[in-house]
Amino acid sequence: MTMRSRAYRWNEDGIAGICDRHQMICFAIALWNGRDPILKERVFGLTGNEGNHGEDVKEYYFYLDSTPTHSYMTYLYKYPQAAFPYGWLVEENRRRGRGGAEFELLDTGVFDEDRYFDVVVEYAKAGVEDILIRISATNRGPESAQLVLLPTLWYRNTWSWGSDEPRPSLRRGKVQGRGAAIEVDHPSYGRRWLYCEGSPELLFTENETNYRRLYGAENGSPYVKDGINDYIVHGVKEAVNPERVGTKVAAHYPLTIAPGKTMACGCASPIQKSQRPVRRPSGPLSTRSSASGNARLRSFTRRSFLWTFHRTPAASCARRSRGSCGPSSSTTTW
Amino acid sequence: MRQAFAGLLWSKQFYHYVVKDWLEGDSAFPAPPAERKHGRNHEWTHLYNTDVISMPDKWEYPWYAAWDLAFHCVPLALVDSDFAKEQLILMLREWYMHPNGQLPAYEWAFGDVNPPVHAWAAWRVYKIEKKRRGKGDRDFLQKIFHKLLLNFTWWVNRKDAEGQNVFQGGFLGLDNIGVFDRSAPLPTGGHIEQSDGTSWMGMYCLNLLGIALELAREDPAYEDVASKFWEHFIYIAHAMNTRGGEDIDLWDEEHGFYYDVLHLPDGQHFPLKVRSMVGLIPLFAVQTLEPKLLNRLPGFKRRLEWFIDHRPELIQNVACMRTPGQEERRLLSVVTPDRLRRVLKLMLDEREFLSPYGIRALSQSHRDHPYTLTVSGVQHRVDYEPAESSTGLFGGNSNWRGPIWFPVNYLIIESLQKFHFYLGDDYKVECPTGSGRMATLWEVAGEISRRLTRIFLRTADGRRPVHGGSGKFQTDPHWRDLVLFYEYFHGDTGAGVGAGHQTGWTGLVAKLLQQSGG
Repeated sequence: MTMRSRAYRWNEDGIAGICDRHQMICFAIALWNGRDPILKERVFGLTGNEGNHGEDVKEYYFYLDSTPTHSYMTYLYKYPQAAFPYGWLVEENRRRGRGGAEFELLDTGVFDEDRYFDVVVEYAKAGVEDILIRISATNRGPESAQLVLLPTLWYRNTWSWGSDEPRPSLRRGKVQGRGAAIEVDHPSYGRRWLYCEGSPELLFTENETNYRRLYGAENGSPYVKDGINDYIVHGVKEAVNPERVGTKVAAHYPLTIAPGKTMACGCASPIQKSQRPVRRPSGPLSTRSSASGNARLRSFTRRSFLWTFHRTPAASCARRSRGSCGPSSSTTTW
Repeated sequence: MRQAFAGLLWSKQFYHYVVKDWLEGDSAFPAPPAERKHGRNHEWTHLYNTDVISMPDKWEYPWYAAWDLAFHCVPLALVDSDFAKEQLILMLREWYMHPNGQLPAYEWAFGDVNPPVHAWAAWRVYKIEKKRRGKGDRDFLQKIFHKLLLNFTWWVNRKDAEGQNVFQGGFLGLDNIGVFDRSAPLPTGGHIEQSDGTSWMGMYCLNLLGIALELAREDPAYEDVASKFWEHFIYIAHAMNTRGGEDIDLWDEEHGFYYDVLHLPDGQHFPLKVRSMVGLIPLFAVQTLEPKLLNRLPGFKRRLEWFIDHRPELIQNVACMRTPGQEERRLLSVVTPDRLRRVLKLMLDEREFLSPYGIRALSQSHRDHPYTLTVSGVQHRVDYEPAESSTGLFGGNSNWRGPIWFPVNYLIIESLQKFHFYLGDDYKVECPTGSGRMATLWEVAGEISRRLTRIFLRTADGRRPVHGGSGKFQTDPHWRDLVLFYEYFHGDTGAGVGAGHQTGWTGLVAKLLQQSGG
């Protein structure tokens, strides 16, 4: 369980994530149900030595759809509302040994009474340079439940290894009217923006190893890879940078979702500079001004681009006066 | 089908690994342990990977595996043939392929040897695109052909220990299928002549022959190299079926099946009579030659006729070179039609290979009759294990001792169709064995394809075999249509086993559905 604290040397991971062709800029979601000991930033599984039949992922996620050009993609993750049984999965599988059946997440009972969220992430490209993101969470359980939704943007760490790679930056951008903007400034890609619906708090930290937690050594900066985790889960206010600048940032959407209801938020994230236009998982970041970018975001949430599973009047999102995340009138089903 | 493609497309991933930097370590950090420089991948310092690549499973196998990738490219070609072509070319570029011509297997041991299916995939992707676009990409085909020549030569020089056109190869992708760990030295000493190693090479030869002939249509410069692969194939097929005076034969006349042959250091040798996929792989080495094409390539045809006239001993056990079949096609195949009938008798027997959900990697007969071999007091055995492997032996949670694997099933279907192309509707076999129902090879291929797709489809009672015994997946409306594409499937029930998001080669089911109109 060191992944949340250690900056990766080679490749990044994340839930329903996308990145540019060279994985300089990454986007994925993080979640918290208010009970887990850590943010859900990556799907959990057992390593080769831990699993009774070798390595095995212990989560439920599904690649629902994608066009060949990636102009539209959607992904479903089923997130339990109870504390995720990390320790139990490890211990029980170890106990069973090779001859026994694998002990799966469903076997732990965390999905009983349907106490989980269906979290659907959709990407739709309005153009080569424009990616629109919609994240919706449906409470399948019998009671209202809390969910913290954290759309997260970060850079792969290319600067800490001793070569002369410059450190790129993320900072809070200016927005006219409602919404929040993150300004992306990368030597290879120039300046681009990620717009977030509503007025979420933006939590900035650095994609740097937390040496204090892992090795008891000093950190070069007070802000490290698991800073957002510590802020959300442990309420450590000083774990994120009040200057609103860093190499990793999340937009903070705390939600309370009634049973059977869906809430959603949207981001307009132009992510990648493609070597070849249109064909790669995404297009470059938008170079529009922040004002027009924000307009773009609103038109995205109003438009019915959810052609595959669309049941939800997406406009309900943009109409909310506070937070811009609101319940829609029906659940998403397929 | 839509979810299969979604899985394939979502499984593209940025992959980054620079072996030289990894061996030497980073200047900002303490140097890695000295032994790293002599350990894993130290012979692959040319390797510099920083590309978007199709992964087998982004969680369990978040690195490329060259032979998996070749299979991914076939269904991918249906929706994005440009991407499929780029992926196949990429593996052969200078920053991937070893200077000696070997393809990188996967990051934990680039030097491992997996079945040579790259030429097959290149040829299939070319043909799929040609069919869809009405025009083949000859530049792609030429580019990949030249690089594959290097790889083929690496195989010939490295894996034919005695220079006899019989290949070892070791691991060859099928993890625990053998009695011994095929990646490690044998406890007995000596070596194993592998039925699959030699067959894969026969198939590789024929794939390159097919590509050379296609290129020769417009450029006579390729006729010579086509002759080369044709003859090389004849040598391999001959070696496979008879070793002349040495009396060593991978074909077992009594059982009507191909087995590996164990060679002991003292010169003794005997077959390892495990009834497994290894003995079905000879079916993959099959190709037909069209008379029209032959007539357009006079140089190639002349050489072919000369060879048939002057080397009859090489031809006799190989294929029906002289008996033109349907529409005067010629058949090139390791397995003759008579032997094919005998192999299929076992393959289509529901007590052996034929499961309700495809062809098992190991015959069910080993459930009651495990194969055992005692060497220096240690018993080695192979049991029928239709789900996970019961031992941690070579291969983690991959198990080839009974389950159903898509890549080899797909090749079985394709091979039967090719045989049918030559043998026509008059050649019928009983399917399933013992049922009294006779079927053409085309119909048999269709039957296997149907059984495979049945894994994912709802039965009359609303259940999907892939979900196995899981109640929620079978009945809950928010779960039951969420299909997972597992690494392999239970040999009796069709339930998914192993990595759960291996849309990669299990995504071949999309191609099966597409061709059957499902």
